[in-house]
Amino acid sequence: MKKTLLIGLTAFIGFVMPVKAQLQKGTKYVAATINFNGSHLAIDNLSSPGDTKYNTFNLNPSFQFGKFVSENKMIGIGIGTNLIFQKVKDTYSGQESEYMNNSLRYNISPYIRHYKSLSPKWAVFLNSSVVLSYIHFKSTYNGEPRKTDGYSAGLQLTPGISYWITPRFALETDLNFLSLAAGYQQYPTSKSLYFNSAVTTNLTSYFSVRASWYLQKN
Amino acid sequence: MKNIYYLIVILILAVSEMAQAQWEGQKFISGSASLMFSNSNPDLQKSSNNYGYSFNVGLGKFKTSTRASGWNLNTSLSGSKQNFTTYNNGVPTNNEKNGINGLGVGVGHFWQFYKHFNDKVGIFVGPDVSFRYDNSSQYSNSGDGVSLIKTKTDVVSLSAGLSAGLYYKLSDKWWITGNIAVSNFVNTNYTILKSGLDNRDYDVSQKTFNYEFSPSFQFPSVGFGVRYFL
Repeated sequence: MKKTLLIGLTAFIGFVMPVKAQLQKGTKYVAATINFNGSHLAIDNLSSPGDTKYNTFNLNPSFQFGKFVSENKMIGIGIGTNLIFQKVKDTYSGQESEYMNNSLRYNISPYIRHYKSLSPKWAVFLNSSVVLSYIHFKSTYNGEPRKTDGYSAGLQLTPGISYWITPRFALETDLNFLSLAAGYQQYPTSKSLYFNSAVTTNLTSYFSVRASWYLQKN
Repeated sequence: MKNIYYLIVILILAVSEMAQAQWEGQKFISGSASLMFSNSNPDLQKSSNNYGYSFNVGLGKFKTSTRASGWNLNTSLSGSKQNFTTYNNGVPTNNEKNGINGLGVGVGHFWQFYKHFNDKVGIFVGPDVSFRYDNSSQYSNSGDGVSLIKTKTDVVSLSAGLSAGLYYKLSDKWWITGNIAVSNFVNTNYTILKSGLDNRDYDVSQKTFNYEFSPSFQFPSVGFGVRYFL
């Protein structure tokens, strides 16, 4: 009886606190997420000879690549873009005017990530990263382009949660309500320093989900 | 010492899915209803009112003891009596607008997968798709205060999402359910808006198509409901 219970207890503890194979040295990591939205609006003035068309499209893909350098510790790099395309077309008495506004932001962020395993399926992590961004603005009015550039650099600390659906595949989300960020940003018309510490007890928030793969060499 | 063993055994039993009621084939109904009426009667102006209803019915069936699916139906209506003052050459005129100004119907299908922790408590998660049509016609004062503008809107929306919740069984017939998190990762809608001066033809027509894909969720999403088993 005692032996059975001991085995049972060991199994139970093993269930709660395993040494997770995915978080071992040498495991490679790939993660990706994307979101996009768009809006197309057409306004027809029926009583005057004018109409307007607005089109906007936002696309935000991001990728992360990493490798575990020791147990529960990963170094890696994240790349991503925020692309915003806007186009306005006015027609009045047969005369057309067109206005385009594009903003392309490229982010690159080397990071160190520390994991803490909670169960075979759950883990929390703390992501410390340097975020470097380059922003390219281009606005065109009736075919005449105007280009400007900006950049920003900063440090960011974000905790997150991983949930393993299979041993190789997990869904992750960053807990932005606990993040810490500081940096410098230089836009064509403004220079700014920022420091954000988002620590709130107001839990209700939107969490973006990232698909991630933990690839072990055999 | 023996007591501790018993306690551990009971705990393990409670965590695992050993004691299981058979849900297969059971049908359930859940829903919400709201009715609204308000009236305001100021001394110097004419009386105005607002009224409306919203009904929501969910019908579901357990296909197996851990899987259920069903339909959500939704209908809503609103109306009002409103007074707008316009000025013709500086002379104020009262415009009374009476009647139904909003109407909506929606239908959705949901799938739920259950994990019953024990006889009383469990969680469920699953996808849903929904289709909705809304119609509204509103009046507003124009910027210069001379005329009244009417705006008519038709919206068709289609969305897909995921939701997670938990339940507590009060009795064989009644469950309390609560939301944990929701996600609407696909949203599309098409809007036709027409506006113009009152008592004339519409002179602006506006068409909008919006779409969004966003793999994100809202947590926590608090909401409670009651479910009755037929």
